[in-house]
Amino acid sequence: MRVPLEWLREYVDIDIAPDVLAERLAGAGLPAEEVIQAGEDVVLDLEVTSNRPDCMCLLGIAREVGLLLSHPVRLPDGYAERPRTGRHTGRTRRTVAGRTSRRGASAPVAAPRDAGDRVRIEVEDPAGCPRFTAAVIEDVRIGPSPAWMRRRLEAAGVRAINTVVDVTNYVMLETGQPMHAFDCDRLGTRRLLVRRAHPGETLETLDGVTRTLDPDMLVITDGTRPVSLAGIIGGRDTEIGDRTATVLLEAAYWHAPTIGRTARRLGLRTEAAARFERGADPNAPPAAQSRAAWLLAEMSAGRALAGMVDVYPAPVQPATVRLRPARACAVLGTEIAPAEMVRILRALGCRVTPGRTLSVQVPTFRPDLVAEVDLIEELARVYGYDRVPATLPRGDTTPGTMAPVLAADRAVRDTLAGCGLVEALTLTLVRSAPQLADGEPRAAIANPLTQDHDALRRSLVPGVLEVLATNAARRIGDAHIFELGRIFVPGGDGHRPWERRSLAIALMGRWRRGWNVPAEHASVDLHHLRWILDVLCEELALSADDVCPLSAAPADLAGTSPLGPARWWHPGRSAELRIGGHPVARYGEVHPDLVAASKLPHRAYVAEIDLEALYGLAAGRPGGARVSDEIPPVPAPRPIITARAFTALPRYPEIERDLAAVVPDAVAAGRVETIIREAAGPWLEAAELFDVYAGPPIPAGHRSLAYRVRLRAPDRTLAADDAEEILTRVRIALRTRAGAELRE
Amino acid sequence: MAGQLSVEDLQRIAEVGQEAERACAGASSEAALEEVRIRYLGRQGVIAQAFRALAGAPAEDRPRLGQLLNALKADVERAVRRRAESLAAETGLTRLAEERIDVTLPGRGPLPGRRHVLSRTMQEMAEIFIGLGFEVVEGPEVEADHDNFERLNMPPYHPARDAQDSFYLGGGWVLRTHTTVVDVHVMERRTPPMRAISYGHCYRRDPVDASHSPMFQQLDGFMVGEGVRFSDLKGVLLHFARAFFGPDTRTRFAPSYFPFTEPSAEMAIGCVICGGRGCAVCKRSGWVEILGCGMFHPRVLELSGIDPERYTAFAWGMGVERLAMLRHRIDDIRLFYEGDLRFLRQV
Repeated sequence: MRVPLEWLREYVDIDIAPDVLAERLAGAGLPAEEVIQAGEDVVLDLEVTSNRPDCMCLLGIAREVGLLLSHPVRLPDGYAERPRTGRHTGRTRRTVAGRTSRRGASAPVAAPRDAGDRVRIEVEDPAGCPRFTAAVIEDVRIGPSPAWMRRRLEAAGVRAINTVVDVTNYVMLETGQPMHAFDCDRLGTRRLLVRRAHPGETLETLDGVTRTLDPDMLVITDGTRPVSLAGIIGGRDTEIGDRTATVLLEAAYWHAPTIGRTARRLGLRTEAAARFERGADPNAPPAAQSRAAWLLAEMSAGRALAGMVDVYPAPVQPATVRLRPARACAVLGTEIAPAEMVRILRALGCRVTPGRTLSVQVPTFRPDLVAEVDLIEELARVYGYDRVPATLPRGDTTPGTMAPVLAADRAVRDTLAGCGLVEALTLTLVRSAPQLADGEPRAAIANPLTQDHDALRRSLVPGVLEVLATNAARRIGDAHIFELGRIFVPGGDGHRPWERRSLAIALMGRWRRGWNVPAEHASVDLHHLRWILDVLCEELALSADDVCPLSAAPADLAGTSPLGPARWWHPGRSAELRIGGHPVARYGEVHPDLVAASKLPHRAYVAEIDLEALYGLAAGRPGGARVSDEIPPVPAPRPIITARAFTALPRYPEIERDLAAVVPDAVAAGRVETIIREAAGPWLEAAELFDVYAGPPIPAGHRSLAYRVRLRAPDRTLAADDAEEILTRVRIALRTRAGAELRE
Repeated sequence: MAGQLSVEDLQRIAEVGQEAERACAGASSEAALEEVRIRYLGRQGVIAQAFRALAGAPAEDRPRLGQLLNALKADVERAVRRRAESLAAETGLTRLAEERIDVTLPGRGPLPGRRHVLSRTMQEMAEIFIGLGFEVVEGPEVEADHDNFERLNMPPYHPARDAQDSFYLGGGWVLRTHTTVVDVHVMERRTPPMRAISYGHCYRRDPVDASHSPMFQQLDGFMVGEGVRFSDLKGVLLHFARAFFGPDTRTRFAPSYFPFTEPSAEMAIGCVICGGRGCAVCKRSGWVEILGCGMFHPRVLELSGIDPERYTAFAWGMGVERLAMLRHRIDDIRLFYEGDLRFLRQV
C-alpha cells in the first residue's frame, strides 16, 4: 500500500519526520517495505497484513497515525459515514426490497429525478452480495482529471485515466471502498442483476481477456449478459469511454471468500479484489458514493441523481466482544491498567462499556476483531510489544530430547564427514522426465512452477551425480560427497507418497592430495567406498560382511525397492550389501553410460543406502520398520543407535601367522575370508588381507590372496601348537571348500 | 708397609692412565675407540697384564698396587665411555643432519569432510531449544491440505494462503508449506504441558531468485501449558537469538499477522551485517526480521482438542537459510543446494 505523505496530511497532522513515522508505524504492525523520496513528497510503501482491510486506504492509515500521535482524524468533504434512507427501488429476489437514500446536506446538487427511476437493482444471491448500492451520474464530462488528483493517484501507484475512472480509484484509495463505473447507456436494460455465473458463461473483462466463469463466481448482469465480475473487475462492453454521458456508479459489499476464490481461480489480483477478499466495511458504500458524487461535482465532471439505490436486506450490526482485562494481562504477561485498555479501544473506534468485563462494540471497518484474543492483540499492539517484558516459562518443565531418528541422522552425518565426505543437500523437487533412463514413476506435482521441478525425487542418486557433474563443469574433479534425506515413493492414484530416509555417497577423483602421491594410491575406487560402508555399519553396530555382486542379486520387484535399479552401476563392479538377509545398500562404479551422460571426467562411484532399513536393523526392528515421522505418544523413546558395550582389552599376547591361498579367479575374496573365519573358530581375532597377486609363478586364471591371521585366547597365552592346529584346520578348509593351494 | 713400592711403578701406572686418556681422545671413530678399549681393557690388554704381574710383586705391596690398578681401570673405563658418548653424539648429529628434509614442502593428505552448513545450523538451533526443555520431533513433508492449512485456521481461499502458495500432489496432498503443521500432529498425540520443535524441508511456489527457493528449511516450535504468556515467548526467543547470534544481540518484536496466532509478532534482530547502522541487507533500517511468532490462536488449540481457556500456547517459525545467510554473510540462497564444493567446504 503506497501512501503519499502529502495526501495523508489531508486527514491527519504529521509532526514527525518521515523515517520516524515509518518506525512508529512498523512498531504498530505496518512496516514500510520502502520509503520512497518522490520529488518533494515522500511515499511510504507499507506492508499491510491480510487481516487489516481497514489499512488498505489513506483514511485507515490516517486513523493509525492519529492513534500513534494522538492527533484527530479529519474526514474528507462529502464523506458521510452513515447511510441514509430513501424509498425503495431495488430488491433482492425472494427477500425484502432494498431502499434508496436521498442525499443529505453534503449532496451538491438537488436532482430533478431519482436514481431509482433510472435503474433497477436485483440481488439474487444476498449471501454473496449482502449490500449493493448504485448511483446515477448525469451530465458526465469525460476528460483528464485535475492535476492534483492525477498526481496523487500516480504517487499511489494507480494510472490516471479519465475523470470518472479516476474518481472511483481515488475514492477507493481514500476510503477503502472499491467502486465501479458502468456506462449507463451501454447497459442493455436499465436493470442490474447480481447472481452466480452460469456454467461456461464468458465475460470479456476490462483488460481485454475473455474469461470463462463458473457457478461459484458472482457476476453483475444487465439482465441478459454479465457486465462485470463482481468485486474484481468490470466488463469491456460497459466500459467508460470518451462519449459516456451517463454513469452508473456501483459500490457494494461482497462475500470475501467468494471474491478470494474467484480472484485466485482466474489469476486476477486487482486492487478491488485485494480489498474485498480481506473483508471490506459493509457500511462504507453510501459514504463512498456520496464522496464520489461530491468529487465529480467539484470537478464539474458529473451530477449525481438523488436517491441512491441501496439493496441491503440484512444490515450488518457492529459486533460486541467481551474482554476480561485480567485475561488480557495473563495472556500477555504484563500489567495494563483497565483504564488504559478502555482508552486504547476507544481510540481504535470501539464503543466500550466499562465493568469487570469490558463490553466492546467493534466498528464494522474492523472485521478482524471478532474474539477476545483479537482485542488482546490490539491492546498489545498499541501498548507496544516492546513494553512487554521478556520472561522465561514458569511451571512444570519438560525434558529436552531429540527424536531417535534425528540423533541417528546426526551420528551418520558425523561419521561420514569423519570419512572425508562433504555433505551436500539437493532439491527434492526434480524433473519427472527421467534423466537416468530408468522410467521409474515419480510422485508428480500437480501444479509445478517449472518443468525442472515437476516431481519429487525417487532416489538420491541422480542428485549426487548432478553435484559431481556441477563440480566437474567448474573444473573440480575431486569430489567426495554424501546426502542424507528423504525419497518419495509414489503411492499410486491419489494416495500419499511413501517418504523414506535414504543416503547416497558419491566419489570421484583423488582422495589423497599432494605432491608425488602415485595415482593408484590417490584415486578413489570401489574399495574406498566399501571402507566407508564398513565404517558406517560399525557406527550402527551392524556387520557389513554379506556382500554379493549386484549382477548376482535378485531382480527388484518392479518399483517396490527403495534402492535404484541395477543398471545404474557397472555390472562387473557393483555389489549389494545385505544385513540379516535384507538388502540395505547398492554400491559400486557408476555405469560408463551414466558417467558419459553426466559428463563426468573420471570414473565415479556411488552407493545408495536404504537408511530406513538400516535404522530398523540397528534398532532391532528389521524389515524396514518405519522409523521416520513418528511422533510417539511420550517423549524420548528407545534410541536407534544404542551405546556400545566395552570389550575388555586383551590380557594375553596374540600369535600372528601369514597365510597365502592360491585360488581360482572365480572364488571371491569374501568367500575365502568366510572360510577362514568359520574354520578358525573363536580364537581368530582378525584375518587381514594384505596382498592380492596374480602373475608368475601363480598359474593363469588364479590369484594369490595373502592374509595376516591374528589369533588370541581371552584366558591364556596361546602356544605355538595351538596356533598350528588352528591353521591346519584353516588350510584344510581352504583346500577342500575353495580348491585353494596354500603357499608358505 | 707401602715402603716397597718403587717410584717407577707409580710413574708407570700414572703414565698408562695418561696414555689411555690421550688414546681415547685421539680415537676418531667408534672402531678406533674399540681398538683403544681392547688395548687397555681387553683380556690381553695392558691393565689385565698388569693385574697378572701383580702376583710377582712383593706381598706387602700387592694390596696397594691392586688398589692403584683398580683405580686406573676405572679411570680408563670412564675415559672410553665418555669418548664413546661424545662419538655417538657426533655421529648421531651427522646422521640427523644427513636426514634433513625441506620442511616448507606443503602438507599431504586427504581433504577433511564437512557437514552441510544447514544441517549443522539446524542441529545447533535444536540444541539451544533442547536446553530450554524442548523435544525435537519430525513430521512428514507431504501433508493433507486440511492439516497444513485448515487446522491452522487457514480455510480455502484465505488471503493468508497467498504468502504460502503451495505445491499439490493430487488427492488433497500438499507439500507442507511450514513446519508449523508438525505442531498440530504433536498436539493431537500429546497432552499439555508440551514443548516441541521440528525442522526440515518446506515448499512454497515461489520463483527462484537469490532469496527464494521452492524448497527451503524451516524450524518451528511451540509450547502449550497453563499460564504460558506472550512474555515467555519473548524470553525464549530472546535467549535463542543471543545463543545463536551472540550475547549482545538486540531484538525487536513488532505486530504481524498469521491466521494461527493471536497476538502475532515478527522478531527482528539488530542487523548483524552493519551492526544496526543501516545497509542493503537490512534495507537501511538497522533491523532484520528473522522469525514470525505469536500465541497460538484459541481456534487452533480447539481444533487439536485443547481447552483454550485453560491452556495457552506460543509458537514460532523461522527460515533456517535466512539465519545461516545472516550468520555467514551468504548472499544467495541457491548456493545451499547447488553442491559447489568450494562453497560447501568454506562455510
